[in-house]
Amino acid sequence: MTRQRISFWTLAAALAAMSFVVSRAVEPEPKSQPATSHVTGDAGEKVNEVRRRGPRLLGNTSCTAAGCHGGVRPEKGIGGEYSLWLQNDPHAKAYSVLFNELSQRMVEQLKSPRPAHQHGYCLSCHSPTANWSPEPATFDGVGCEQCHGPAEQWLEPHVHPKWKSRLMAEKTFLGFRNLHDVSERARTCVKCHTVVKHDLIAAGHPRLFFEMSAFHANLPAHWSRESDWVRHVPGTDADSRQPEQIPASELRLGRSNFEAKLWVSGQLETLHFTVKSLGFRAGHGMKHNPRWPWPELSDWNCFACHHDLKGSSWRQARSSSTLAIGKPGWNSWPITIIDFLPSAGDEKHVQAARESIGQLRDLMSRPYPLPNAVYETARATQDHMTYWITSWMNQNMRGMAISRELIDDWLRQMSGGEGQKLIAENWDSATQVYLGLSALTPAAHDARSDVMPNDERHQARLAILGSMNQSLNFPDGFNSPRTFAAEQIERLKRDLKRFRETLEEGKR
Amino acid sequence: MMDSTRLLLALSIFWLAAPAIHAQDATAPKSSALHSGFVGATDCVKCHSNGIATDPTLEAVFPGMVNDRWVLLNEVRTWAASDKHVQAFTTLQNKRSKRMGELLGVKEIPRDKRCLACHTGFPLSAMGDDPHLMATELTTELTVAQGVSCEGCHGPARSAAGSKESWYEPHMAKEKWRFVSSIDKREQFGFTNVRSPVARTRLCLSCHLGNATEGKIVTHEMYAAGHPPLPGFELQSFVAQMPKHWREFHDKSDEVRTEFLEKNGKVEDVYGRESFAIDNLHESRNTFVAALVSYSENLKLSAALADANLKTPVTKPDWPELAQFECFACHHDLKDRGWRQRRALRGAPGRPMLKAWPTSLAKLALKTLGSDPNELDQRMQAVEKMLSEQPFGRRERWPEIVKPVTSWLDQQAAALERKPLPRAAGLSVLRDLCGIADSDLWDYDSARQLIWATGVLRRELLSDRSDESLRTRVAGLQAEMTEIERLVVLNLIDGRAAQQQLPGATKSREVREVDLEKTLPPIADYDAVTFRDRFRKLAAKLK
Repeated sequence: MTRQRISFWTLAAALAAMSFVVSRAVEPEPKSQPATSHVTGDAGEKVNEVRRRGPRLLGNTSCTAAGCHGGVRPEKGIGGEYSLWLQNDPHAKAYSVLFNELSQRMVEQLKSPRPAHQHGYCLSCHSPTANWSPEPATFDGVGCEQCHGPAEQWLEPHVHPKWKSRLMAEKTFLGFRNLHDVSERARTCVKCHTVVKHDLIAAGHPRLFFEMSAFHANLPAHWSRESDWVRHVPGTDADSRQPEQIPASELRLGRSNFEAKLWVSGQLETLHFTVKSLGFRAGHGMKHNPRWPWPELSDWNCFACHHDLKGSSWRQARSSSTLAIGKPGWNSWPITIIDFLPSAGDEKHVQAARESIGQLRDLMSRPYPLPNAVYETARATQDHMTYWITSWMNQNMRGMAISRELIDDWLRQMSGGEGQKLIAENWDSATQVYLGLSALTPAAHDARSDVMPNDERHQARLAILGSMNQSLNFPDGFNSPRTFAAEQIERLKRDLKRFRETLEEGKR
Repeated sequence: MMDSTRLLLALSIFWLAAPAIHAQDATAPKSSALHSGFVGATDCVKCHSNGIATDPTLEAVFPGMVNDRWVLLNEVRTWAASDKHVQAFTTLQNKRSKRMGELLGVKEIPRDKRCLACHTGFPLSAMGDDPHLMATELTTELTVAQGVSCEGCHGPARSAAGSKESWYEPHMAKEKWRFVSSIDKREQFGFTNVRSPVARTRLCLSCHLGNATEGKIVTHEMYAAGHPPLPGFELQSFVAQMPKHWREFHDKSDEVRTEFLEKNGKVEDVYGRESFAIDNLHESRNTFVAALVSYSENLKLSAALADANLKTPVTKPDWPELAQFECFACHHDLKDRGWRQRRALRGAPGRPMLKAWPTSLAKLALKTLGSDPNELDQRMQAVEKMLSEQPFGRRERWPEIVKPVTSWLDQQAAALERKPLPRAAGLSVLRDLCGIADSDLWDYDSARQLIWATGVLRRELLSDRSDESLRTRVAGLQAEMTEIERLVVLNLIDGRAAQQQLPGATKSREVREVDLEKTLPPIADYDAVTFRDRFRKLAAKLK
């Protein structure tokens, strides 16, 4: 409170929010009891009601008081998250971009009766608060609650000093998202970053291709990255130690673990959401909204169609493609890596998931995928994947470490024969291989206590990744891999081979 | 009559020492598979290649038989020497076709009916009962190796079992045959009415666009495996590049024309007496007729491929057949701020579009006819709505929605082929073409249609010696036209030199094959804004 009073942040909205928080904070406070006791009495009724309609979003202003998360010095610990987000995080602009020229043109092209900033479809990702809040739109963009959970029930206990000592299970019961969990974190992102209709893309919306590790690394962190690593130091009780208490070598191991798990989780969640969305559209969408596009062209590989036709095409020259000639292929972006992902001990469901994904791939590889069959298969895939992800989460929860050998093994697989095949398949697959190597290379390095940061082999790998990046980049003025052709594929294959060789040297 | 027939036969044998095919035909068993009634170009060559018209020695000995004012009598020679149709079959044996076979899993491309439907001039019904492959024993009998030969366009010359009388014998009775009306020739003898621009366009389009009932379908798989993209079809430009092996009626002498009109009693013959009028920009008018037919045929083909009940002689491709939609609407690299996103959009964004080139000239064609061009938009609304509802449209609704539009377009085309386009209207049509070019950001194939049509009209106006000032004016557009023509590939004949050999032949011959390295890059590099701007310059000059 002191900080609030001395703060020069006199934004009316912030003050209003503060008074709101304060007024709520003086109400009788039931949180000394376990969360489960909420289900009885008046409070229990409220919980049930909230469960029925879903908890409400309160908007950024509930969080942005200078004394809470709106501090001006974001770089030092808790307090400046909102300020950092507002200044640096692209999510803060998610709402305002709906007013720009591109959005206006999109609305025109789509013949929408409403502007983008009033269109439910746009807002559902660009500012869900504005869309769902019963109050007038709060214009937040992708604000605090989009990731941390709707605050209706947790805001009040959250400002209480005891919050920190609460069990995560209690917090999540109140709607607070457990973003410490890498799977949950990835799940949060994929909801918006995975699927967008082809109609929108054609009207000008960027195509979505999400890879957790790369996106996570590029996001200006409004939290302590070290704390992510600490939680994944093998054998530590997550919250019991501060980063500075942990020796550097252990912290590196934590980082290795965290990054490797984040990559796996990102892949699993992206695929899971893709399948879920596909199944929903093929089933519910088709039945209840005949105007739902089917086939949905964005379910297919963008660049399978979107490329200039050439006299001698590498596509016609390739011999090992898994695709039927002239048929669209199911968007390979989320399925490229599936064979490399760990089964987390659940061989049965993982095997079943892989098989049903293969079936889905076949079903989707035709100009008119049969909706019923897609729906059924997607449902089955989704179920198997749920088991898979659950095992993976359980394994992580038990503090299972990703061993150095396992990471090396992934790198070896991805840069070996399988990787070579994927690179020759298409740009999407090649890029997924590149991103996978990019995510795991530092993790592999961190997992070794016996090498220095300037380790030659590590440096060589980073250089190779740089070269691969060059081959995959879109040329200036283009939004597609115009130059990705036989020559680049050969170069990528050579790079991959060199990458693989650095691993073999490492082994010796 | 019989005398002259015999004489002609004798001459043929004398000149060519050709095998006595007739004797063979007479004794050949009419197997159940072969009742097609085709004679093959081997028979036609006997008369239609000799060039007697220019042989003074023979003219002296055979008065009346030579120097024919009606026919050129070098048709087969022109076809064999310069017409690409003659390569239609041998092309199936080249490297590209082999690679296509590998990719498609087709072992015998030269026997596959899906290929032969267009790469020979014979209907699939004449190729045996196997649904996929042509019967081997028919390969030589049908002379498929000669590609799209005479009867591919003119119709089977021998009577098929139980059908019409053959036209082979009657057509040798030159005098008599000439004054049989085109309608009777078609209906009684099965001789295709190639004089009518509507019928002619439909005939060409059956391969150059596709015809599902005849099994002529270029599928997306074929394209993906390497089949060159079919260029948009513009009748007069294609005919010019064939090259023509005939004289159009308006090219024939006054004497011949008068004689024809006098002796041919049927006023409705061909496509109306009025269209024989001299004051007609025949070629440009035909271009517009063909534009309406193309529009209609393209819709019909789309509807046919969507029609679950339609029977086709080859395996019908699954719906949606991607090849039926605009290729370059999807197949282009994604440019930041590309011209495509600057276009005025008709339907919903991101939905596959119908091919655009058949639409580009249609409105001007309707205007030429005196119809309301906007009526087309109104009639097309239902089709466009259906196409916007779902990607590829709603399959079950295609046939019913398309039918009223195509019937109307067919009526318009039939009316236009009977209506002359007076020379005096030439300049205003030229201006209208510029207006069309400016009315939208046109894709490559549509732009090429506009350039071709402008070229046809310009050449026709230039060839008119009656109005010197007009000629000078049109000739003055040369520089602007050249600039425009640089944007697209107009010459479809030129290509890569290659050797092709007929099965059983001892010698190969040099041909020009499609060179995709030359035809595809201009499509990728094409910029609609540049095209529009260059046409604006032409328009400015015409003001």
